[in-house]
Amino acid sequence: MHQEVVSYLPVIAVAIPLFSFVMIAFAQNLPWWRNSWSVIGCAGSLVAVVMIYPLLSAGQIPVFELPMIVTPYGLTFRVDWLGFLIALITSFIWLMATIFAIEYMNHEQNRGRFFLFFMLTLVGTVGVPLTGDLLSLLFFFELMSLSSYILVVHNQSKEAYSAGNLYLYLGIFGGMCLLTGIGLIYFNCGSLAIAPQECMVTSFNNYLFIAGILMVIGFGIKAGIAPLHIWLPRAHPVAPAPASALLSGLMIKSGAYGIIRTINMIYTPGQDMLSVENLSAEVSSLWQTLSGGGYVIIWIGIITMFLGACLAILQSNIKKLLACSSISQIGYIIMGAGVGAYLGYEGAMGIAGSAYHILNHAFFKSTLFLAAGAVVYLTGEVDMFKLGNLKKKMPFTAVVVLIASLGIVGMPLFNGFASKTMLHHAIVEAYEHHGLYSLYIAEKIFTITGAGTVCYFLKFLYYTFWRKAPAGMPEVKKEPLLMKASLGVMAAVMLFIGFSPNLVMTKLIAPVLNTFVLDTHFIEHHILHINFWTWNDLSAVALALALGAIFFYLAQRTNVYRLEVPSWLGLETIGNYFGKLAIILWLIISMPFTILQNIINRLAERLYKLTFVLLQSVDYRPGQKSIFKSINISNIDFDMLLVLVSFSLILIIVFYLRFGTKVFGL
Amino acid sequence: MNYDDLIKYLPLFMIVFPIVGALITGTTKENNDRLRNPLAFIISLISAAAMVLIIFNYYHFGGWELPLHQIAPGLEIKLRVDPLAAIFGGTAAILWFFSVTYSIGYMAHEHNRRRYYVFYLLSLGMTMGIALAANLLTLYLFYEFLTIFTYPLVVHEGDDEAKKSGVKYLVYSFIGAGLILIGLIITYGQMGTLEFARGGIVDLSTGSLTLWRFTFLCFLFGFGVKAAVMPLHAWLPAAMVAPTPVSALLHAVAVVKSGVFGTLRTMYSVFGITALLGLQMGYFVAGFISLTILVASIIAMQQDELKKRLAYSTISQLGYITLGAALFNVAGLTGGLLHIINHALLKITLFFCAGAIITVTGKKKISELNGVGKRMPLTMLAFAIASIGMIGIPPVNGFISKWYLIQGSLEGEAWIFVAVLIGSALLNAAYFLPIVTAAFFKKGNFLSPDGIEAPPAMLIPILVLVAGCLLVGSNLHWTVPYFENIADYLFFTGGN
Repeated sequence: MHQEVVSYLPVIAVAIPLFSFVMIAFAQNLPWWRNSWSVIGCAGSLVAVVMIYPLLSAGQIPVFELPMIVTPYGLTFRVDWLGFLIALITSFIWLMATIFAIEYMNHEQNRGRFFLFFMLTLVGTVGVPLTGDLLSLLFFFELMSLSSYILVVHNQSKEAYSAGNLYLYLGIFGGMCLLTGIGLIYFNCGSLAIAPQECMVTSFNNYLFIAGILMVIGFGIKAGIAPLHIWLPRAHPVAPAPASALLSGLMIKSGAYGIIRTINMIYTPGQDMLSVENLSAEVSSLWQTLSGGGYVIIWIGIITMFLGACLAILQSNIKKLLACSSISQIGYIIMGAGVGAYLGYEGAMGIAGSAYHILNHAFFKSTLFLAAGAVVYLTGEVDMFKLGNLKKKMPFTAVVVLIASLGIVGMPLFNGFASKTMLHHAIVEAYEHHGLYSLYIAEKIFTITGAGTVCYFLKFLYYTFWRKAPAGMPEVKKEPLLMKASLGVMAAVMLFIGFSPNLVMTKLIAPVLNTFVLDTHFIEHHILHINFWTWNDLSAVALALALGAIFFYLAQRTNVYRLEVPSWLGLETIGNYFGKLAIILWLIISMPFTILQNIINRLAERLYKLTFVLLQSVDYRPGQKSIFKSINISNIDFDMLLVLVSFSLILIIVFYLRFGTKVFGL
Repeated sequence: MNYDDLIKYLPLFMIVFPIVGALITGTTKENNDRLRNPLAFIISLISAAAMVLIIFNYYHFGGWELPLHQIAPGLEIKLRVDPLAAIFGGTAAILWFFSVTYSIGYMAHEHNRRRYYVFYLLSLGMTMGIALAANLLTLYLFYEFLTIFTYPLVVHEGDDEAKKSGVKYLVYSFIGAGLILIGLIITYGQMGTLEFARGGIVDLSTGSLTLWRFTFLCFLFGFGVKAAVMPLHAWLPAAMVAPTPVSALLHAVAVVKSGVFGTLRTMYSVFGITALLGLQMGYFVAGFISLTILVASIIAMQQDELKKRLAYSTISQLGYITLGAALFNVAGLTGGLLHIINHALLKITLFFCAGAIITVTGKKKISELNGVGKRMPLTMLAFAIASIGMIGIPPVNGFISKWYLIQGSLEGEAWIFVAVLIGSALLNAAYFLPIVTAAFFKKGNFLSPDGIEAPPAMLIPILVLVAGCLLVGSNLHWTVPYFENIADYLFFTGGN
């Protein structure tokens, strides 16, 4: 079993970027100073996280508690394998993005502010997986959510401002959902631990059910699950490229991480509960409930992935395409978590697939966004129809993008292959478990989405890099060294993961499963000894690739890509519709209150006027003969004197009568 | 006289010293700022220090009483130090010091500064009297005086609008005081005493339930005028014509909090938890207050004048305190008590920021503040942090009171109040954050400051207070254990 040891490492992983943040705050406008502190912050965090690895391998769980800090139950840190995995990729990719940003931000304004909040967002994002209780998690989550807002609105254009508003308010709404959910869990369970809660078995009630829904909504907003994804395609593209890389690559993962923690961990019966004889009825009823929830989440994931792919195919803006692709990919992750919950005790495949895909997607999506950033930086253009032939002018970026794209479509030997295969296994297992026909359809949608992914990445690659340059294409500058360096490192890591899926599997992903309540027998046989190179899996990939290619060809012939999205279906319009709907709803809700307010005001006004007239009648006005000349509200200096004198007299007399004998000895 | 005697008379000193100080300040010449400003500063500093000394003594040696004058048996002027007094008195005295400092910067270009400072310090003495009162009579006395002494501050501008608001303020306050007087007389008639006691003095069996309910409502709405409970709130937004330090202190910290403090006193020192439960009015009060919380937030959204929006926000946030007290459980009361301090810190910061914006840019409307973050980055940063606290997001201090209130609502099996609290938090976000985002990220006509963005006497209190918000919010061992103890203390049911 795991043994808890007190360790400063998780705190240090958070404290170093926090210290860097303070340091940058003092000298925002010294480029050398802020760049080095940014790199130190990320690198320090990375080192601290990496140093947790030996502890975890030795079966120890580092914990640390700061009592009564930020939350009344202390700011606690507790790092298990899942947390470690997320924290590791977070700090690593953050470092790469920072190196990229040092070059990239040269053509942006307000660099000091950008790097400042870049660091603060790291504190939040790396803190989320390292915490050990729900309130601490909420704290880091909110920190991430609020400070990344400043990255989203960075360029302060009108578009960025409205996208940022949507991001901010949905973020706060999600935060409040989480707070309510956590409050309900704490009240019912008396514990905030991110672990299987005992009360879920012993006293599951409607409050806890609602709490679960609220938690999924709260985390889901950040993750961008449909229909809560509306902010994502607007907010991610407007941020500067390094920030969008992190938003898409890492921050939405915090949401997915939260969902996995909620439905696959907190809402499961603990290992010690399983063997208790007289609780078996409760345990199985909790598995039942969880399975129902998992089914819903599978479908949310499926819808999200399909919707994201459809949206991505229609985009012409590179960054928008990547943002929609993020929605689609987060759908895969959520679906995996859903399968994990649906299958309950046998759900290892879904969780493992999710965790693996979190890792992979973090790498390829940040790389793609950084590469898109390089394209924007060097050409000043984001519309892929105005670009072309960049493989000649930016060969390095083109190769990196190719590697990342092959990864994301799930090509064997590249990094997306293993995780997509596992997720495919997971959905098939879910179907075979009860043989629900609806899940059979879900599996088909999964495959079609895979083909869609191929299609939109072919589009991206073809228009941006491979086809002949269109007329009027902007000049392309040379790729700067720092950009090449960070892109190169990312590509190298992706290639490594792609070539040795089993190594990553055994060293990083399989241990993650030990933190969940799962059938160890199943893990032993189906996960640890998984063989990715079977005919079934390869043929599934081949099918997706072939379908995707056909889609691409058809779309190319029928000119679907040039298709103007009808204005009533466009992202902005839908957003506006929601906005208008919200305003109308708001008016309806607030109407009774406004009426009430008016009534109250009228009454008060009436009352007040009556008295005012009364007072005015005795008030002295210059040139008016009046009996009460001294009562002068308009000029209160005289009143002041009167009040002061009389009041001090009273006080002196009272004081003298009461204490004269004691104090003055009279 | 030895040290113990000196300590014993400290509560009296807390009241007399600011009054004497005010009289001395009144002797300075109108234009002699170089003498008067340090004088006011020192007086408020000494008062704050003395209050800290009182709290320190209370914490180590327990509370004590100081009878001053007996009018009739059971009718006394008497002071006492107890936990509620420590919370309210400490908050008010310390924040008073900050706002006097701020006033030095803000009032530099205003007229009638002498009158302003005299009444500012007098109000401090009266507020201390309210905090340290040992019975309803004393409380009532100082409560009335506070109304009178704050009136000249409200009408400071001297124009028609100010006078109109001033009269409104007086009328509302006196109506409230009248209601309190009715309640006071009934209580005295029934019980023969007005003394605050742990566990309350009211014995419901002495009168009919209807009578006691009526009395309770008299107190609730009487103090509710100053606490700006919804139908009786109209004076508060109107009183925003006053200079900003006045609005900040009197209308976010002292006057309104004295109303809330009075409510708490009535609930827990006069009626006591046993009688309160016997009245069976908890849900009524909490429901009523919830309405205030939501309606005030909704109205706040429609205000374009920054100070008015803050005023409505105050109305809404004060409801949290009363709501916490009306839940009748320890968690809820802890949340309410914590919110006294937390809201005071947050709201005074917000008002100071608003005042700094008015002084530096002359803009009073929110719609004119686009891009002001460029001109006043630190001020707006402070505003942003305080707004986040108002919404209730950690690590700013508003979060913790909200957490306890949520727990209290759940404990009282009233999930509807959880919805109210969360809804109010969202509304808070909806009316505070647009100010912040527009200030920083919308294009405006403001230029970067050359030199310091605001007078140091204004900027320093803002920064210190916002740092206080963050520190109090993140170092919970400074507040939470004590407040939990106090809530426990107030929940005294045994004994009589």
